Amino acid sequence: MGESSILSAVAVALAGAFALAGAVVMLLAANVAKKLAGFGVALLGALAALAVLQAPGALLAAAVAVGFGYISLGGGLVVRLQEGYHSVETPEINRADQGDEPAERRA
Amino acid sequence: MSAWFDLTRAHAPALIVAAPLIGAALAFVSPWSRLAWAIGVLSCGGVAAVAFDHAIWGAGAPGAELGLSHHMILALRYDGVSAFAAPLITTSALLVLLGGAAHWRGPHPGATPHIVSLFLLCLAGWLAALFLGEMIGIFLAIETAWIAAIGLVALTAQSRGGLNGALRMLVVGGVGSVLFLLGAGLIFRAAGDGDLGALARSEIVAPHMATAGFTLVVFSLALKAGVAPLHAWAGPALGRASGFGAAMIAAVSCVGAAVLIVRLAGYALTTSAIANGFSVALAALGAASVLIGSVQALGASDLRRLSGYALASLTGGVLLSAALGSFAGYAAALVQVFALVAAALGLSCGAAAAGVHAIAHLDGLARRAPLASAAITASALSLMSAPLTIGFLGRWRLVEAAIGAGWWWAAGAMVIASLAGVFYGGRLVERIYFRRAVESVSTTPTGGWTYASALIAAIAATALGLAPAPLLRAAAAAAALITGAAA
Amino acid sequence: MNAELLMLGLISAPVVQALAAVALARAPAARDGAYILGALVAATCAVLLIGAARAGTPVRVSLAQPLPDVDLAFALEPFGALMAVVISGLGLLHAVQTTGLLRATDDAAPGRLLACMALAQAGALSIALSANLFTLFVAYQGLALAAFPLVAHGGGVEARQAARAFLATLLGAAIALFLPAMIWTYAVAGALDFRAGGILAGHVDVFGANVLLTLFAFGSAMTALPPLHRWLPASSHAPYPALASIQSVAVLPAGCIGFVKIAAFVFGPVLIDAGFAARALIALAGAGMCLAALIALSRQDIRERLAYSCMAQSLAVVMGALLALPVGLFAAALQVVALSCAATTLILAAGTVSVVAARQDVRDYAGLGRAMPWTFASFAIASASMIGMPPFAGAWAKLWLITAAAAPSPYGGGGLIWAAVLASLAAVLTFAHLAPLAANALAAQAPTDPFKRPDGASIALVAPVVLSAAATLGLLVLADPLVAFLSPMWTPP
Repeated sequence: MGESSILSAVAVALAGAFALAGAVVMLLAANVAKKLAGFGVALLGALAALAVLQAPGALLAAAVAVGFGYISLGGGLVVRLQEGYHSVETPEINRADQGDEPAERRA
Repeated sequence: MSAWFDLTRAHAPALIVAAPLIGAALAFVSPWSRLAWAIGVLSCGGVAAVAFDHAIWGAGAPGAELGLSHHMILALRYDGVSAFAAPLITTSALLVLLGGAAHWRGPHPGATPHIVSLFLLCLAGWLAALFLGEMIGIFLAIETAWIAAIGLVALTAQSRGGLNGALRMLVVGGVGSVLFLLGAGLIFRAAGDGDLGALARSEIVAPHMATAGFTLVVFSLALKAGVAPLHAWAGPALGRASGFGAAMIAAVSCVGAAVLIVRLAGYALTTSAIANGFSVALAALGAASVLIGSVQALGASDLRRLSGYALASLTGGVLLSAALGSFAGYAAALVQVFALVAAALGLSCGAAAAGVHAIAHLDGLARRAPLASAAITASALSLMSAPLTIGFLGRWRLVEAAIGAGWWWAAGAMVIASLAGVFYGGRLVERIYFRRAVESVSTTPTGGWTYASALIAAIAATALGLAPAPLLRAAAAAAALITGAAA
Repeated sequence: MNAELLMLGLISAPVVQALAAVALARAPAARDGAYILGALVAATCAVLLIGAARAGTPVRVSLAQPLPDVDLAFALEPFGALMAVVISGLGLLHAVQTTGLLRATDDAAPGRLLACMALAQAGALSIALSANLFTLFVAYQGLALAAFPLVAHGGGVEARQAARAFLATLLGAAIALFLPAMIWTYAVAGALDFRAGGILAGHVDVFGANVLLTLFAFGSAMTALPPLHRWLPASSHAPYPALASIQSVAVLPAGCIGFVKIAAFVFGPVLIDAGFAARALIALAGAGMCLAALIALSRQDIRERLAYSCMAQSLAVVMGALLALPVGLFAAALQVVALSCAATTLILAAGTVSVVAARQDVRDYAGLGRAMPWTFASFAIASASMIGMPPFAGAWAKLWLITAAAAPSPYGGGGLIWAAVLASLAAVLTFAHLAPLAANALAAQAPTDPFKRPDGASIALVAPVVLSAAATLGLLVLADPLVAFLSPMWTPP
């Protein structure tokens, strides 16, 4: 294995780890804005990995377009959540939802 | 006239993808709710007719490249899964849209044009993903569909809980898109091409990398299909969405993702360099979904959440069948896809028609809403794999295929799923027919079209459970195309 | 009349009965009339079918083909035809008594009760006439679902819990054990159609035969083979008409019929290969018989006592079917007939006593025979049959069973004397829990206030009891002709 291919494998691994770390933040962060930031990090990591993997430019462009779509939609959701729940913290939002649902009669 | 028909048939795949997009644009600019709804119904109905016609009469050479454009990204590739699933998903979408008629009289009637537009965009996305032959195009199509679905759930929510559901879908979509991108990048690097048709012919320079790429892509789709254990979003999102939103997610979006996994498996598993590793990953995911979904459905107290978990179990069966990579496996997977659609429609439209959320609200439903009860019961029996239902047929075909391949453990997993089905399906039936509502339940039945959708799904599932020859023939023809196209 | 039409009539008559019971729920006279008429039609069809079965005419009706090589079909063979006569004949008597009971009691939902009873009967008949394992499986599940509301009919938390236990045991066993066994059979034999000599012949090795037999035996939980027997005592607090359906007319006999069909038509001589599992199951059934009869002795509620007593009788069928001998199969067939007739008599009699004298506790039965001589004479005859006293049906069944067990066993090592001993011990214990009861009812001094109802028992409540008791005498004349009639069961064509 050549030196360049080892370097590119390491670069892919790093970029992939970066992307996965962003994804983990997106899944686990309590704050919705942090989730969106996590997505941004994950997307950047994925783009870097694609670049190292020499993926076609069209895939990178598609990734950017889709990322833009998610972040726009996420921004809109943050605003609506703030209006609806007066909070963007998911534990508070979930608690509020549980309060909204009528108590269920157990079997 | 016949020249028009010939033209339509010649460009059927392009029409199937383009018509909902045009419908979405028209609905978006429509000034009236009813007009937007009519445009949506006509688009779906038209696409369903073309898709059926194409599946029955227009089946060309497998893998034929057709098209919107000769540019690689938008080249359309027709195969067995697209032929089988396109009519199914469009019909399912049509029934969901018909069932949503009552929704337009809801809290935000002015949003109807946007809702219909997003609905058609979502449908177009999944249909495009079924017909596109290149990874980049498929990625764009899937993400378009998913973003539209998130918007739809947020817009149709009858309470603020819908926003929370949309948020969960956004998170899942984001993670899924990153996984897909990483997977697609690995596939490009390993195979030198992202074209599905060329995959079997291309020389895979790094089989492990390609296997990892396909596995990541399938995980990304499994997230969106609500496959357990990647389905943490499904229960809360379905539970918080409106009846219409939940039906759309369950019967169109999740089904679209599941079908796409089968389609990708069809190409990956006939590429000898990656078949073994990919099959193991797919089978493990399928088996986990079957078992985890079944167990979670046992404890669900919300009808839509229960649907989400039970459907995850069914989807697991689809994945297991596809993982076999054989003709019998693909045929079994497609029969189960039909069972999945029927159960999703019956449960979600039935629940929406009767206006029930919590399972406790089902008590004595047979007296209050006999037709919705019949639809939910038909779906529950199918989930239980009661004999003479489409659910039984699907599982039987899977077990047959699995035993043929020596996968006895898969047959065991199916038996466990059926056993769990007896308990959660039986619980629904018991509450509907053998309990009295002890307190006044504030349900808001929607009636009309929603009943019709639920009943059509239930009747179709029952009829094809009793006389499944046409469905089995269609699944066999599609499976032959899958194995033939990839060979 | 065309035999196919008769068979369709036989299966569909109870379904029509059920529909009529629901449709005419608010017109009791019309409802009861239609119900009895439906039962009469079914019984007539069954009797007429015996002729076709004796002639050996192949009769097969296929309703649907839900799987490529497997259809939902019914076929006529002597054992199924005989069982159809027993089920529908007793069903007619049960229908008459049920209408009498409904008139005498204040049931909240008589239409639903009658409809579910009719559907359960349709399920039992479908099992008897099933042409293949798949149809048997479908009918089995249908029967469990139809009988489930019967167990829950009383309402209340206890009834609902009993119904859940009933359904969970029967459907759970069917799916977890019977279904895999069926799939396995299909995988190795490529077919599910019943045939004398066994589907599995030549297709399965010793290990497979043993595992399959175990799966089928426990998967057929309707036979109440321990430890999957809880559903039977749990359902013993259902209303009397439902109780008869569950224990003597539909569910329990259907479980036995299904198991005999599996032993004869799926295994046949392959049972010899499954000798290890078969002997273990015979021991389990034998021990279960004795234990059930012993538990029955400790129960003072007549319904619970009869539930355990019926369980002991049902396990005798399992034992007979597993002996891998034509004599064993014949004994099992006779035992199903004996069980159905005697248990129906006992439960119908207990129902009549409950309505007329408001007594459930066996200690309160003392002397009632003097006030209700016909009912308790029938009760005594049925008890004698359950015990195995000649000349009643149970005697022939037990005689053949003990003979079969003691005969040189195809499993090797001489006869299964211990099985014969267990069967005899169970008969002694049955004597202990039924004979004193019947004797005390007839011989003790009559109670001062025998009747809750001033007019005593109506003819609709007593006549079916007497007639079903008379049926237990039928085997006295029919036992020998039945050997020839049933011989196609163990003689491959």
